[in-house]
Amino acid sequence: MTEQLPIIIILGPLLGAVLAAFTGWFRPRLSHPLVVLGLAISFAAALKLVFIVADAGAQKYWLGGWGEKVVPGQKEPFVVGIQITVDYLNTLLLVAVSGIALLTSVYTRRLVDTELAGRQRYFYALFSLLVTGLLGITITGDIFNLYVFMEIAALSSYALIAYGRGRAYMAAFNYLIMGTMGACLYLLGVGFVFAKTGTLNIDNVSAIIPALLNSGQSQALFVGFVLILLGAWAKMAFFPFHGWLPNAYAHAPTAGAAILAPLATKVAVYTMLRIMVTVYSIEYIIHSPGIQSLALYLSSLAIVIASFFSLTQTNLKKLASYFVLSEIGYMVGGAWLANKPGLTGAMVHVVADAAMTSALFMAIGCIVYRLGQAQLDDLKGVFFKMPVTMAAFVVTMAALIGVPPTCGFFSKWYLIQGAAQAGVWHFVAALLLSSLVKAIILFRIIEIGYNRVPHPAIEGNPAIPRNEAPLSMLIPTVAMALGLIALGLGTSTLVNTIIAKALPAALAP
Amino acid sequence: METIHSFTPVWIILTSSVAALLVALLGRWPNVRESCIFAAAAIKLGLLLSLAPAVLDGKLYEFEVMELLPNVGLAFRVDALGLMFALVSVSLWIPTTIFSMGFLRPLKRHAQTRFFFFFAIAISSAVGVAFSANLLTLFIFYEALSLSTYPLVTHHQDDDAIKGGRKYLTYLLGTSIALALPAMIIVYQQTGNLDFTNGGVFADGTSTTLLVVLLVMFLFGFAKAGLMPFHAWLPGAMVAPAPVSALLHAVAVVKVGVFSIIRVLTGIFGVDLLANTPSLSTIVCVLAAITLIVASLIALTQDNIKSRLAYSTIGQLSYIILGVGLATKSGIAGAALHIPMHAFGKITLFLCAGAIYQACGAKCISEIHGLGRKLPLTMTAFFIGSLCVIGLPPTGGFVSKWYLLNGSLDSAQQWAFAVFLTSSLLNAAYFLPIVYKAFFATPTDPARLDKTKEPPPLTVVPLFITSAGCVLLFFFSGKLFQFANTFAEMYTPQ
Amino acid sequence: MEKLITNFNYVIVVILMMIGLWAMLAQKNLIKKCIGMAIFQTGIILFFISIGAKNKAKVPILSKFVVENSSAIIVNDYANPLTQILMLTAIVVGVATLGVGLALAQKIYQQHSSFDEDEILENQRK
Repeated sequence: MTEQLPIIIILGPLLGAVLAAFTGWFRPRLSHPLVVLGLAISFAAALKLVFIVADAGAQKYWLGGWGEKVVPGQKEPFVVGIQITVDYLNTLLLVAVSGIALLTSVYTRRLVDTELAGRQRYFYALFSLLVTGLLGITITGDIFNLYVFMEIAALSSYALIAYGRGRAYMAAFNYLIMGTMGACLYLLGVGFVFAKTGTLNIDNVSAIIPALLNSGQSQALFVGFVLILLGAWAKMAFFPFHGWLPNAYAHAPTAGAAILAPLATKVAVYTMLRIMVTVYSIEYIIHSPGIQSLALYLSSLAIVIASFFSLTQTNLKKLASYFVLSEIGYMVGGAWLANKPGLTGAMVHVVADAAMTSALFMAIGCIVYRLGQAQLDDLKGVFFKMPVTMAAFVVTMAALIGVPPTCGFFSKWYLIQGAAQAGVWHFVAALLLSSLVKAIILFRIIEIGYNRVPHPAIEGNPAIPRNEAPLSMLIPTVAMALGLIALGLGTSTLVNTIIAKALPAALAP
Repeated sequence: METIHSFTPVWIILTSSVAALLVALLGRWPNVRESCIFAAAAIKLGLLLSLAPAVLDGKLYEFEVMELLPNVGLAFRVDALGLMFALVSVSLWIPTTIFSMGFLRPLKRHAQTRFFFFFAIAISSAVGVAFSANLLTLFIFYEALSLSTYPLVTHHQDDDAIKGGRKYLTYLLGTSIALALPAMIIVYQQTGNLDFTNGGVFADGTSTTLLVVLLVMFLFGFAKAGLMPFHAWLPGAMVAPAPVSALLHAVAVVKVGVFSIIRVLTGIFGVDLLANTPSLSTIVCVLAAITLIVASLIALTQDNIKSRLAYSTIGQLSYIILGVGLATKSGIAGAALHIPMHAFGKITLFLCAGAIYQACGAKCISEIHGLGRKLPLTMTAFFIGSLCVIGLPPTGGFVSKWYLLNGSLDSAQQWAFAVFLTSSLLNAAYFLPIVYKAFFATPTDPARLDKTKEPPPLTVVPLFITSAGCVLLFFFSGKLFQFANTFAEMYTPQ
Repeated sequence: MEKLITNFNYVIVVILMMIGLWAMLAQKNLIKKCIGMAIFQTGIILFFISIGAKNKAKVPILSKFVVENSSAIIVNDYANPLTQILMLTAIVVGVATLGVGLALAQKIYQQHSSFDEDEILENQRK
């Protein structure tokens, strides 16, 4: 049974999506439970795999039983079919993606019933398909298969965003253009790699590349690397390819944003990490002429620009999407620092940021559900109307700011440590600046929602009735917020048992 | 140095956190709520005193809760300095709570449960800082203190309070995130270790430029210590109700700042590094001296009583920093001793300011002429408090300033002697006229004076307790000095 | 110059991709953007197939006679089937994306009665 666990991770949501779409025709109310069931199976499998991987190392699975063939003279056995691998790099992300998807599917029930009445089954089918695509990207061991899953996820996300109606159509269209451009660039890069190495399997490619680099035939590989990198950057909305994200997430239905925002961009960052760390080796990265400093400058720019824009936003969902943009800068910069703390920070931050963004969008979703609006000015007195939600919101913002002991503090610590070690001071400054900007925004919200409101307990002041979010939305939000603290306290365990082993041995300490 | 493994430090911190929870739950019954606080404070004091004998002997209580980063974790260690600071905070919590009851209830202030809740959390954070074994734990509780005191500062929730709160956070969060955090990470990256170690954590031969940069980042990063130019949050925080200003901004918050700097200077840099690197100790001493003199001068110009006290606090904190910067045993001992002495003196002064406001609504010195006749007890307490801060016998402040003066003579910065004396004169110049005007000047506003009556006993009794404390500290200074000396001996090389 | 002529397939691919990219980014009409997207993807598909092509190669389908006499399979006679299969997948993905794009364009047209990006943005601001 345990050998089948990797494929079960993908099959769960895939079957859930298909079944939800079909049974939804005659029994619309079944679509949601089917999707939740599929995600639960996937999450259970992913969780089990974490422990297996922590004990026994990477787990490989070959689709269709094609297996691998030992070829005399080759270091790695040659893989004929499509391989999926669960190793130290992606096992945590698999748990994060499936776990967040599971919580979000439970959470979005109410939102979907109100915002998307009559179309629930389509929404949930697309939801499950999106998660299939994301899990597929994370788990696959084949670079072309990654493209396929990438497009599965992308098409589902275009449709999910378009459910927002109104301005969402244009936003989805722009996202489609940018996303397809990114995917095509990625595909082109894969073409170059394939042309030079003759194989698509990640393990095989990574075994062949060092020899090619040393023999001087590296121009095509370099072009391939740059193209794949550009493709990943377009998919993760890294500056300067970020134009599509704020509109897309702001105009998407709140339920759609709740699943897209935490996961889509992080999986794209994972793609970049996989290419950097496993396919091309880390020495290649360090010797890439100019790319490293370019990536670091772009990261700092991304963080600074996103922070400044977030200060001027009045719409909560747009504000949150600018936060997402700045967090992407953290991860790309951390990865391109190419030293142990930097890369550790990037890997920790992928999981931490997925959790933080999910909690943030869940809290915002609760507010939108009850207040019907998402403008900052509409938050007057929200601390009295929805105390539990706002408590979770404050914890999430504290995590984004980087207040210990939440997970945001520890990932920021690693990133700053890595940047200090590498002497990249503009990145340190950008990280600290974004923390301060987020602090300003948090306290502005506290002022609007609490301080500036006439206190209802004083006689003569208008009473403010409690209007807390429904339990099905509140419990996932609070659970996610508490999870941020648990993740923070458990960072050390995670780093020691899993992430440290994912770092390539040749990395600078 | 013998270490004792014990969960007691964690119990001590947890006691006030549990009290906070009980306060939140039992908010509807004010008397029950307040008795929870007294019970918690009493238990804490008891636990703290139980630790005292071993600590005075030179032993340490340690407990590591969990590892958070490689080689650094959430860990507690109780030594003489930490224990003394914790004792001061907790023992002053009791009179402040009595005062808060007397102050807030008659004025029918709102949200008292919230007030006592965050107060208890703030005390827990302060004790957490006192017991930190490494820089990371200290940072965690330092930030917790900033965040938990924000609702206290903005308690009145009017425009002034919000503005004051904004300034408060901008200075405190801004400096800790922008300066202290990167400095801490750089120390970790250079040395792999954040524990407070005798002799510091830096390897020999670390570049002096790096050390200087880190030193400046730490000094300004811990802005709670009020070094100029990051001092402006203190006068801004005076919008808080009087009990908050009294305990937190005269005792807990500012002393946490100064305590953090003492820990960094003695435990991260190390006293011999300071003594042997003239640039380091000079920077500390010069910055502290400038703040000392300038704050005292500004205090002379302030008419608002709380503002004058705020600037006086800024100056007194720099006494402590200057004392540590001297890098001599008596300097450090004097600095450590000044923590409780100044705490008792300043809290008396702030509580008096609150009592004056409650009695007649006066906030400025120009409004209190002749008040001494109507509020003799209050103004006498004020007089004793000012003696303590100025440093005259028979109050405790005299002893700490004595050791500080000695320390300056022992050190390489003998000009600090002159600085200390000048500042003491300035202290007298801005405190004694208040007392004089209160007792001997003709009233400017007789109508207001007629309406004045002595504030309720709940307000006056704490004044009595703390001013008596100032005098008692003088006579029992030997016991307190034992704490200071044990600490100084532990961290100064022989 | 000689290199350009011998590698004419790559040149054509580059030209196609540039046309597609320009259309996707610089054109204001939504349908033209979709067309540009299709051209861009076609360029990439041609790239893959051209790297799988060999001199005088046959279609990679084995006849019954060849399968029975396995010694008659000479790899160099057949074009690389792997790239062609990959591109089948890519074509399917491209068609699906084009479909979604056109559906979105149709919805936008229903809303704003225009395919022009500038007009649509103006309309939205009202």
